[in-house]
Amino acid sequence: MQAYITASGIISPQKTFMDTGFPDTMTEGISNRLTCIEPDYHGIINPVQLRRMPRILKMGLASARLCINRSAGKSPDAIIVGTGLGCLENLEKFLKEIIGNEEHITSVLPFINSTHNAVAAQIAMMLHNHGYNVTYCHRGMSFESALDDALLHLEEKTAQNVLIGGIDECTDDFMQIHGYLNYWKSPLNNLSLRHDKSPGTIAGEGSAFFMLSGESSLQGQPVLEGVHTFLTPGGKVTSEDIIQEINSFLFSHGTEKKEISLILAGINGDSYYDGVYYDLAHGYFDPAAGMAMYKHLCGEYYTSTSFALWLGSLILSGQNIPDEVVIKRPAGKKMDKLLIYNHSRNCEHSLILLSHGKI
Amino acid sequence: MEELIGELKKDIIEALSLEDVVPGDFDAETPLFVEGLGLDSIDALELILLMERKYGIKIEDPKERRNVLRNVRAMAECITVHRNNHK
Amino acid sequence: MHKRVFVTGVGIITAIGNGTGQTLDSLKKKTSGIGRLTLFRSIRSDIPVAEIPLSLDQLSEIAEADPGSGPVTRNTLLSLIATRQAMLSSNWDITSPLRSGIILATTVGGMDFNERYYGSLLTDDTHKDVITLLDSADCTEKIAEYAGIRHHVTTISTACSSSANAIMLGSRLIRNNRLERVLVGGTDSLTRFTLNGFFALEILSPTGCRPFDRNRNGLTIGEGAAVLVLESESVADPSAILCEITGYANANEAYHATASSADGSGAFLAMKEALSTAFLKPADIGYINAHGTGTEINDLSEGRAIEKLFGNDIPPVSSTKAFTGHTLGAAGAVEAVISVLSLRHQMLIPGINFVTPMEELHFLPVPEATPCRLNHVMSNSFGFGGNNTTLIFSRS
Repeated sequence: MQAYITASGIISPQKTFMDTGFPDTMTEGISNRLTCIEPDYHGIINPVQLRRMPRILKMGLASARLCINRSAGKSPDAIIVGTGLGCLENLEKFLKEIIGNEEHITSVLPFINSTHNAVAAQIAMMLHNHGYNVTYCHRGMSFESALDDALLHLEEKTAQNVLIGGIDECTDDFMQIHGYLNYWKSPLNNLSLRHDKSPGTIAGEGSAFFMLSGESSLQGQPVLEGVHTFLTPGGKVTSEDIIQEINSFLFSHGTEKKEISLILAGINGDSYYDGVYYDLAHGYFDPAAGMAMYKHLCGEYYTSTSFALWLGSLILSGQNIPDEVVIKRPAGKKMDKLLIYNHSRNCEHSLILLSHGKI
Repeated sequence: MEELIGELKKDIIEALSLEDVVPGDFDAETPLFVEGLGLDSIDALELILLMERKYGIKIEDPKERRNVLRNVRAMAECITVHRNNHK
Repeated sequence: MHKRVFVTGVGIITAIGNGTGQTLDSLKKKTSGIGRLTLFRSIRSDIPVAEIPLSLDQLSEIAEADPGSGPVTRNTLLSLIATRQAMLSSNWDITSPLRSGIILATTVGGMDFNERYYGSLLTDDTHKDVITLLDSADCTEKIAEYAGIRHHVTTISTACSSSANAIMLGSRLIRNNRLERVLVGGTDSLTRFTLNGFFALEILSPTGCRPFDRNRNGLTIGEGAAVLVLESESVADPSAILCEITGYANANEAYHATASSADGSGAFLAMKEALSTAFLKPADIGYINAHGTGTEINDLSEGRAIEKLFGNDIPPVSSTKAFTGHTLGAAGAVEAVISVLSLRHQMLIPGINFVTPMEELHFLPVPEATPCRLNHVMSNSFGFGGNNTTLIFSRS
């Protein structure tokens, strides 16, 4: 089952909120953590709600609102969200009160706002939407689970339009704790990420919402052909394993390897984990295929493939790969199909196949 | 009493993150719930915690809560009585 | 084109027993699992809870967890116990080439470890070996590895309807022939986090929950895990079939972050749509296992929704939360297993801790475990954020 990506709304560490195209200038800095550029939420979110909303809820609501506005007011039949860590800041806040304050609670809001499905629930309240509403929280497969569920709804014809989102926030605690596992590089310029040959990556965050529809509303809207995930416990995986998965995925969607014009890869600068992307580009994909990356713009986070989906959609609909993301340009002029491949530390893998919208 | 009312207004604004509200925007008799400031049940829980945490007053009876939290003056009066009783 | 969805295995562990045998026994004898908190120290220890009176070591032994595999959270141990039971009862073959998946659910994840080690983690890396165990996905991945499943693995978290949504997704995947078999379920262990959170919301019962009682005074938190094996009609061994999942629906109330509306419109929608997907009429339902948490708001709102939908044909209703407590993310699956037991044994499950009828409602909970011809059982799970899910199980 295919779906048209008929609208999107995204808050990211780049200037992606207001304009629909690729930003004119990239944000860059010396850091190992990228932080979202947030809009002024007044005027987007009801002030009564806004006042006690944690940051992640604001980001989710604002990007969902923007997506809805761009959907010509279409009301979604379902709202499905993927988030690896949920409302992390509020969870940490309440947790620290429990353990640090010996259970003397000063505020009830962090608990209410710590539930993983708070974003999806608030969106439903904002839209007065009574449809299907589910939140997936499974690391680097959270957003993909949401995509898969949306495609299933369209196939079942229980929905014509599905609002899906991928959202995660980064916190100081998260940085500190995962630093013990050597997740992060030392501060560097994010735009030079892939050239840094040390282990570790840079953290990121973002909120990206899309309207998936059974029918297109405008010419040239990109098509979500399919999504596939697989686990390789303990990170034990070979290139052959991955090739087998990609082969099987492409075959099930009637696509040959040579039709892939561009691989949008989850390269994150980590010398331990990036090798597989280059191996596949050189040893498996068609030599004519191009390669691009995105994590130097959004950072590493569980639902970063939602940023990749936004970027991939832009690339296909505009038939142009921005210089800032290209690693190797495709040989052909026209780009028909694009494959997003990402993995989280060799454990959770995801594949998303996009195509240029046909009438 | 007036000093306590002023302090309470600031406490309420802070506890409930009423970003666009300043103490001059409402007076001691302005209804806090439904109309006036338009607070809701979650805000009520936060204010009960505030009374307990800062002023040492536990209000468990729902009727008493509705009475004490109806406006800032009622809250101030409750605190004053509590303070007098515990001198 | 559409495939029928059969339940071929179940596993459960809660305060009223380990396994379906003990669970059924407690239900028949009306033995509640609610009692004093002993699992950990808390200033809330005077509040009744429904804990599983087994330590991590004891759970580890029952789960036959490999001691060499490192620390394991309470959630994972409970899940493992329930999964082993489900797989055993369904004759799950790990080597089978059947298209398989696993969808589990939780609200707290590895919170027991989070509470224990977070303070230390903010200071230094002494306990860095637990960092990857804290989130909601760790348990699912451990169970996936145990069951030999690498595809269609995911975790749902929608508060109290989480595992009901997992069951619904599993059913949809089989119905639409995406999968041939799937493990579905959920787990939540007792934690200070949820105990204090619900305490702060002032919805914990100081006496033990009393679903649908006029003097109900809040919910009682429990812990548990339940897992079901769902299989497609194409592959299910007829001798293993326990019942069929014929209906499911999820509807959002979009009313309030934590409370349901007084008229129960979200509950009404979920139940109505579930009947519709099952091609059933209200009069076809023989028993409703209600969400029935024992809070003032839920029981009124759910009760009103039941009366509005079923009119003069209200079937026997009970909530089993006075037995197991509210097992949060596990509740949907726990109560699904209880619904399956009800069908298999053709028995209405009693609602305990009930004394005085609510003025607003016209039905009373089932008083005793009662033999009854049952064809279809409805199970409700309604969560924070207005997330309402209803499942329908049918005799096969």
